[in-house]
Amino acid sequence: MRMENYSMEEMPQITFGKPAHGVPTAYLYVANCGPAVGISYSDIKKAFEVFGPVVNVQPAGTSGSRVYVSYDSVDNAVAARGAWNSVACDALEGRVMVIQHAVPQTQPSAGEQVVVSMSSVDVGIPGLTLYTDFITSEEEQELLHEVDERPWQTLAKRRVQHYGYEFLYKTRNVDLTQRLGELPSVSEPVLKKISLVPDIRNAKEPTLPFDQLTVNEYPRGVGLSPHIDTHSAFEGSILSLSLGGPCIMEFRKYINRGDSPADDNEDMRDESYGNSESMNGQKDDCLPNKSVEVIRKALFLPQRSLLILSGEARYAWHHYIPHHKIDNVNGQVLDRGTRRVSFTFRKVRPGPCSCTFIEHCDSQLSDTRTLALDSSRCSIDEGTKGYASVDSPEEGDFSNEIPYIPVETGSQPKHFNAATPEIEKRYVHKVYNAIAPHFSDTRFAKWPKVALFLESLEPGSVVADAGCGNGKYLGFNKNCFFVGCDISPPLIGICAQHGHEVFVADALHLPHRTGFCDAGISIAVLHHLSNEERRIRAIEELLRVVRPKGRVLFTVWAVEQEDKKLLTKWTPLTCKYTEEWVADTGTTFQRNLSINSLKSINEGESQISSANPCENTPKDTVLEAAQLGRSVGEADTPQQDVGDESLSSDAGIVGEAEQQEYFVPWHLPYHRAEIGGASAAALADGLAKKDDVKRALVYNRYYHCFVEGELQRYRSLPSLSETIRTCTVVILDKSVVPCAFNVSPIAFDV
Amino acid sequence: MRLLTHNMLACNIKGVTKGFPLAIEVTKLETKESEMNPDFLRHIYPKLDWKALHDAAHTLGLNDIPEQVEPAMLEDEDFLQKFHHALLEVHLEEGALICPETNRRFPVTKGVPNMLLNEDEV
Repeated sequence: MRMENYSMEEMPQITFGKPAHGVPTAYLYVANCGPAVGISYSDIKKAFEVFGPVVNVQPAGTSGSRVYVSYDSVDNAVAARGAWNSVACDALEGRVMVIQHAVPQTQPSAGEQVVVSMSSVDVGIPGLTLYTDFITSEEEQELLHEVDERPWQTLAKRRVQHYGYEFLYKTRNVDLTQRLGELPSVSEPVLKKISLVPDIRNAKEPTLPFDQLTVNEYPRGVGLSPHIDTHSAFEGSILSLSLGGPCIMEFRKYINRGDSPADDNEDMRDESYGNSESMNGQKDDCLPNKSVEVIRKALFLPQRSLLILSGEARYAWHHYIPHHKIDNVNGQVLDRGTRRVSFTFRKVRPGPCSCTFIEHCDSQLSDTRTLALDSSRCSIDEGTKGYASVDSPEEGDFSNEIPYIPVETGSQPKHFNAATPEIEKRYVHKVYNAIAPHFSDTRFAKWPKVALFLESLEPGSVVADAGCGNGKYLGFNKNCFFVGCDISPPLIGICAQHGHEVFVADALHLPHRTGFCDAGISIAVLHHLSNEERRIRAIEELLRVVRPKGRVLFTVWAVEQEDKKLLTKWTPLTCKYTEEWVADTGTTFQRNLSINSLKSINEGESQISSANPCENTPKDTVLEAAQLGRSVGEADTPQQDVGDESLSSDAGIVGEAEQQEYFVPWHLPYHRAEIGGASAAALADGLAKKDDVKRALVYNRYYHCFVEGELQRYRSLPSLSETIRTCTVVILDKSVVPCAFNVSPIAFDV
Repeated sequence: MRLLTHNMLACNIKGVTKGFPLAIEVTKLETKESEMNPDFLRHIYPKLDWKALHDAAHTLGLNDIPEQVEPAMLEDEDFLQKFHHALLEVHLEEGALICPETNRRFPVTKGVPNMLLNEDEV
């Protein structure tokens, strides 16, 4: 292995673009071949040399099962592909490889084609100014120290702090009625310095005093999707102070060809083409609409610099930070460092915007979709150029979080690119993986309303069960074809053993073709998703794969439980448990809290130290023991947690109406614990705790319990209402009054 | 995995526009007999991408699936039997499904395709 690596390093590595389709080259992209499938690079080289000298074999990506094979002539590559593509290859143990011609990238990748300016004068965008060494190292350290003492809010890829007003990533705006208070006093000296800057003092559009500050911490390699800050959110200038490390910021302007070009843009456009000739080709390849031209500029933002965006730079140019760990600044390689912290100062706008850049202005455009289209243009070239697409809609720097959404065409799945929050990975996926056999053995009682729904389906229906667990509803109606999926491989394994048709998949990214299924069910799934965006996404996905006029059923746990004792067995997720989590999982976990709906838990609370965090927990555990005294001994029986799908009604009188986030225990009896084999690891990891009284391992499962009407509320969402019109969607979040999205489900009026 | 499921599955990696049909890499097949339901076959027929089913059947060595189907054939017992066999009785137990656009390989183990995406693919 070592020798292999060594020789790999010595080989000239070529950067390849996406595999070409139908264009013969001397290079082959070979899939299903490589060390990960037991074939060394030297074996590959030897095998492919049958067709002529092989110059190089190198990995394609990190999977270990895809390689690039470089010949010295196109003919040899064509011959190799002709002989071995998609057929069993005797020279390589009968493997079937998929072979395509690859195209080497002769130019640096797209992000580096733009000449990186070192000064704002060179960039030449009106309204853009960069002051280098705006603050001293001491001031920098003081600011960093101060923010590190304060609680961070965590987004998918980075952490933020908001002062003055919270920037709301969902609306890309601020709520004027929710003032948080003054900006932190540590920023006062900087603000004073800023107020003396001529561009600020003499700005055409008043910008003082700044009343909103967002502090962003970008880990190494994390960038920012291209966007323009929402016009209506902020007025005057937008400032960004770079601390801790440098970065490159790219500025992009999109111009519709054929429009009479704005006078002040004319020379810039020419200049831009002079700068990077290759952009012509790139533009035509990448932009969906050939009538759009893009002008790209880049500026190096050194540590301790202050960037000012005003006028055109603020209102008409998208700004963007490539997702690089290392920036290539005109041939010089610069490391981003471990983190960059930016202080973004803005002034909240009290009314609508009346700028002259109307095509970018949300206040002046009635159809906001135009804005969205504009933003999608800027993401297109990212995707095709193979940038790491780590952006997600909730990640915003300055503000107008133009989401990184590919242009959607009709039936394509809509992509939702947020990582699964740690709380779900740990307290849902891991737990179910660990308890799968026991869970399965105790989950056989079928909930009557789901049974009724399934029985009412037309014969021959294809039914998708998204989040099928142990598959207890699969095959329930013998006249239908059921296909189940779940994110838990052990649970799917159990389904397969029972002969069900299943695959492993995430309910938020279903692999079903759009509209293939006649019906869909999501039984006790949505409550394991830890934020609303993800719950809605799961609904959207299931609706997507069900045909128009199909039928879909969702069930969730309700906060209002008939058996009030149940609630006492659950652990409300409050601040004291964050200590436990923090202790268990470290900072990664903490960081995900804020994007969940666990709004009540902030890091301020979580940092309250406790001599022994565990001291807090036994109280509830004891209480739980009292409640569960009987059933634990018989934990194999389904009564153990009758909460499963017991969507009870009972007028919903619950003391803690607001409490929706719970840990619900699962007791895995000692005598069952070894079946999963994961018990020891779960104990070591803190995922499970021993309860010697009950002789069981106690796992906590994360639940978001729904309040009355919560699911109903989703029906008015634009993303759902369209589909809902064409599907019968039955939502049962109460046992007595099922909620139908559209056609009333008479059959369920129990 | 039955070919009916294969006909339903597409690669849903972000940005992929032609993720269907998935190429099949066969390591092990298994045949499990099941009772034929002609009504189900007639019902499912319009949903299917026939070319994908035909090509997949050939990959699995089932060469008696015609390239084209006339609706009248759905009344023909002999055809229905072959259709049923290819669609529902032959299972891919070990192998892989491969995205036609990206060549991403989704392994099939013990009859179960793993369609989970990596975080950088969603």
